[in-house]
Amino acid sequence: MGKIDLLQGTLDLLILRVLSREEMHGWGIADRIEQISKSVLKVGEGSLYPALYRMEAKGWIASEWAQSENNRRAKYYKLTRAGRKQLEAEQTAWLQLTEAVAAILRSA
Amino acid sequence: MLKFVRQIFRRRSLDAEMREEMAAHLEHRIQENITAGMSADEAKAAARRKFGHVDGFQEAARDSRLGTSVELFLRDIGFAFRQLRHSPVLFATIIATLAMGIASCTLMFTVVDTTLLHPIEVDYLDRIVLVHETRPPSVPQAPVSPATYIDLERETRSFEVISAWRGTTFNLTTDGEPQIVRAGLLTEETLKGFGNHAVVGRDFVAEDYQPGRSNVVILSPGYWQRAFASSRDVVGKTLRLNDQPYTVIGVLSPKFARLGSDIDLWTPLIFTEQEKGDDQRGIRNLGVTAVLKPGVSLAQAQAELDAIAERLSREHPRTNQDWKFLLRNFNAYLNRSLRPLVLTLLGAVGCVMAIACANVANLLMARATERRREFTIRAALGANRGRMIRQLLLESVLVATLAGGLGIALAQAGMRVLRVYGISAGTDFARLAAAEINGPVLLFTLAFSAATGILFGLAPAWIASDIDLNEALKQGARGATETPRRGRIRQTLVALQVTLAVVLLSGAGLLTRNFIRATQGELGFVPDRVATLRLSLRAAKYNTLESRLNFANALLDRLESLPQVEAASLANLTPLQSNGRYLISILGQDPARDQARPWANFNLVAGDFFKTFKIRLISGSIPPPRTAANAPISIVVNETLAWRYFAEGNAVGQRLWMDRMAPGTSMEIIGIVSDVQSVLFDELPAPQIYAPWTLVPPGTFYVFARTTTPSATMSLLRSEIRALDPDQALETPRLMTDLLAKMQAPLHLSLRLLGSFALFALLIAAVGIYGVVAYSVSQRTTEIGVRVALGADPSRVTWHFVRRGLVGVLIGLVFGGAGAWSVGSMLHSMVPSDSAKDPLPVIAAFMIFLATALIACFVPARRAATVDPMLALRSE
Repeated sequence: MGKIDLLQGTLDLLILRVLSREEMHGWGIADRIEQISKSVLKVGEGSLYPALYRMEAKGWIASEWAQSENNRRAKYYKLTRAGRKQLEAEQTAWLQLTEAVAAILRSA
Repeated sequence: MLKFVRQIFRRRSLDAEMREEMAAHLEHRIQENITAGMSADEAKAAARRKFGHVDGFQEAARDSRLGTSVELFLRDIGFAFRQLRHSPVLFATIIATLAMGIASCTLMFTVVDTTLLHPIEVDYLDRIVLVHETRPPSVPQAPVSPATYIDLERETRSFEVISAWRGTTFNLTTDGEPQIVRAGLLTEETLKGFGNHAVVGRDFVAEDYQPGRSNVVILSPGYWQRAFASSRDVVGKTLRLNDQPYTVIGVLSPKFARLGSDIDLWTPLIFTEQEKGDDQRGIRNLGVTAVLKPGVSLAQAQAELDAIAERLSREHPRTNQDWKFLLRNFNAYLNRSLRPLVLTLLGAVGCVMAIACANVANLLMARATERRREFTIRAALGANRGRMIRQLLLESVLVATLAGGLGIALAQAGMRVLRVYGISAGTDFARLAAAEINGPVLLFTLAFSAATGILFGLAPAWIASDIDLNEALKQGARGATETPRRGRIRQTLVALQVTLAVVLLSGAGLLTRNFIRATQGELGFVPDRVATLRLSLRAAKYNTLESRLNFANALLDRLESLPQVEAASLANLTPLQSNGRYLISILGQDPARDQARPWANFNLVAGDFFKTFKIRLISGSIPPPRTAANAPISIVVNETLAWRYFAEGNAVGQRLWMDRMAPGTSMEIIGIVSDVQSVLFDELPAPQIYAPWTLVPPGTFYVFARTTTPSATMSLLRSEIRALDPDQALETPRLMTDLLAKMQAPLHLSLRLLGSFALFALLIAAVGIYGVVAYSVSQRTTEIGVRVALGADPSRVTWHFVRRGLVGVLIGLVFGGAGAWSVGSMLHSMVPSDSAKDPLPVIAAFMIFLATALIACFVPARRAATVDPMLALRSE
C-alpha cells in the first residue's frame, strides 16, 4: 500500500490519543502509531516533532526529561487536562466527519 | 507565562535539548534497523535517510515553539547585522548615499525655509500685507501720506493691525567722530503687530509715543554687533542723534532682521500737526504694513480700501484724484528676487534625492539577484517563506535606520556650519544664525529613503517569488542569472539617474555662468578698486544749493589732485541701487492719458563718474566733470532708455524733462552709455538718466574714488572730507566690491550649494553606473573567459561590454538633454538675462557625463577581458 498522507490536524489527534494511554517519548509515539495502524500510517520525524512542540506550546501536552528504557535521557510527553478535553473534542469531530463521508459514499 | 520567559532566555539550552532528543531518536532507529538484520553501517545509513535532514526541520520545529516571535526577532537582527558585515562596501555605499541625500535635502530645505518661506517667525506671515498708494497707469506704486494713513487707521475694518514707517538718517555724535546712522521711524502699532521682539531690554510702549518722551531707540541686531560688540549693557546708554539725547531701550531680535535691511536703529514716529494736514496729503513718504484679520481675504480688504480711495478722491481732488490703494502680500514681495533661485534649489533637492534613491535601488537589486541562490536553497531546506521575507525586511529596516541616523548626524553638523554662515552673511540670511533643522522635512527625507531602502531591500523576496527550485539550482552553477526584465529595470534606473544628474549639472552650470558674469564686470560697470562712503551735509551749515555745490566741487578738486586717485566722482546713488520711477516727458512725444508714461531711474553725478566705474560710452559724449551752475542741463542716458523711448535708439539731441522740474525747462540728451545690470540678474536693466550735479545738488550723496590702493583709500576719503569740514558726519567707508558681494550673497550661497549638489549627484550617479556595469560584467565573466579562450580579441570584448553598458547611459543623456533644455527655458523665463539661454553649460554637462560614464563602463569591462581565461572559467 502506498503511503497515505496525514493531515496536520489528524496527526494531532493521533498523538493525543496515543498519549492518553501512557506517557511516551517522541519515537515511541511514532512507533506506536505505526504499530497500531499496521504500518499504514508512518509518521516522519519532520512532522512529528513540530507537531509535538506546537501542541506543547498550546498547552495540550507537557514534557519532562527522564531516563528511557535503554538508559538514555529522553523527553517524555504526557497529556494535560486541556489536552484531554481537546482529545475528546477532536475525536467527536472526527467521528462526525467520517460518518458523513461514509454516508455520502454509500448513497448512490 | 513563565514558560514563555523561560523559552526566551534558555534558548541555547532548549536548542541543545532538541538536538539531544533528535539524536536519541536517531539512535533508536539505528537499533531498530540492526535488530531487523542490517549491518551497522547499513543501519546508520538507512536510519539517517529515513530521518530526513535534521537541520531542515529543526528550523521548522523551532518555529513552532513558544516565544518564537521575540526570539526570532532577536535572531533575525543578529542575522541582519552579519549580512551587513559580509558585504561592507556595498552597504557602506548604500548607507552613505542615503545619509548624504537625507542630510543635503534637509539642510537645503531649512535654508529655503528660513530665508524664503518664513523669513520672519510669526504665525500670521501670510496675512501681512503692504499698502501703497497708486495712480494707474502713471504711478504704479507710491508710499502713503500721513494724513491718508491716519484715515486708513481710523476707518478700515479689515485689519487686525495697521502701522506705518519711514526711513531717515541721523547724525550720531556720541563719541568719536560724527557718523551717519540709518534709522527707521515706526508708528505705535508696528512692532506690536509683529509680536514682541526685543532680545535685550524692552519693546516700545505707549508712553514712548507721548510727545517729549519719544527720544528712545531700539537697535537693530547688526548695528548692535557692529557698534557695541553685542554687549548687554547697551540698555540705558545715551546716544546723541542730531544733537538730541536718545536713550537706548533695547535691541531687536535677529528674527526680525529682515524687516529693514540697512536700518541701524528704530525710534517712534510721531506726526506733527503740519504733516497730518490735508494740504500735505500729497507728500507720500510712509511705508504702510498691515495684518489682515483672520478670515478676511486680500480681495475683501482691497474692496474696502477701494471704497475709501473713492471717497478721498472726491473730498481731496487736488491731491487724491484718481488715486487708489494697492495691497500686496508681504512675503511674496519680500522674496520676489530670490524666488527663481530658490525654486531652482528646490528642484535640485528633488533631483538629488531621486538620484540617491535610484542608486540605492540599483545596488540592492544587484544584490538581490546574487542572493537568489541563497534563498532558493533555504526554501529547499524547508525554511518558512514568510520568515525569509521578515528577515529581509529587518535587514532593510536596519540599513534604513543606520542611514537615517547618519543622515541626521550629518544634517546637524551641516546646520552648525550654516549657522556660522548666517552670522557673517547679510541680513537676508540673518535668520540662519538661529535656525534649527526643519522637522517635517527631515521626517520626509527619512521616510523617503526608508521607503526606498525597504522596497528594494525586499527585492530578493519578489525575485525569489518566481523560483522554480529545480531551475534555480541548476543555474546555480553559474551564479544567479539576469532575466531580461531585471536587466531592463536596471537600465531604466541608470537612465533615470543620468537624466537627473545631467539636468542638475546643467542647472548648476547655468547659474555658475550667471555668477561669473556678475562678478567679472559684465555688470556693465567695474567695481574693483573703488572705495566709497556716504555723507550727509549738515542742513544747518549747507542750507543753500550754492553752498552744497561749492562743497562738492571743492571735494572733487582735493580728491583729483591726489596722485593715487585715478578717478573721483560723486553721485546720488551707487550703480548698485535704483531709486524708483521718476516720470518723464519727452519733447515731441505725447502719450495718451490711459497709456503708461515713460519713466526712468535718476542719478545725479559729479566728477568722472563714468570713468570711475568704467561705464562705456556708446554714442554722443559725456558732460565735463564740472559744470557751471547756470549752464544748460545736459544729461546722459543708458541704452535701455534710448532704445525704449526713441526710434532706433537715437536719443542724442532729444530733450526731456521730469515732472518736478519747472515748466518750460528741459534737458538735452548728449550721450548714451551702456547699461548697468541688476545685481542679481533678476531684472532687466531700468532706463537710467545721469544728470549733472548742478540740477539739484543733493545734501546726501556718495563719494567714489578709484585708486591704486583701495584699502588705504578709505581712510584717505575720510581725511580729505575732514580737512574740508571737520564737523561733517560721514558713514563708514566701504569697498564697492564688498558691497557687491554682500548684495550677491544669496546668489553666492545658492551657487555653492547648487555646485556641491551637482557634484554629489555626478559622483553617486557615476558610482551607480559603475556598479551596474561592473555587476553585469561580473555575471558574464565566464562567458568572457570562454570567448577570450576561444581566441576573441580582448579589446573587442571590452568594447562589446562598454557598448552594452552605455545603452542606459545614452538613453539617460537624451532625456537629460531634453530636461536640461526645458529647465534652461524655465530659468530664462524667471531670470530674464541672456545667460539663461546659453547652451554651453548644457553641452558641458553632457560631455562630462558621457566621459564619466565611459570610464565607469570601461574599467570593469577591461578588467574582465584581461583576466586570465582559466580564472574566469573557474570563478563560478
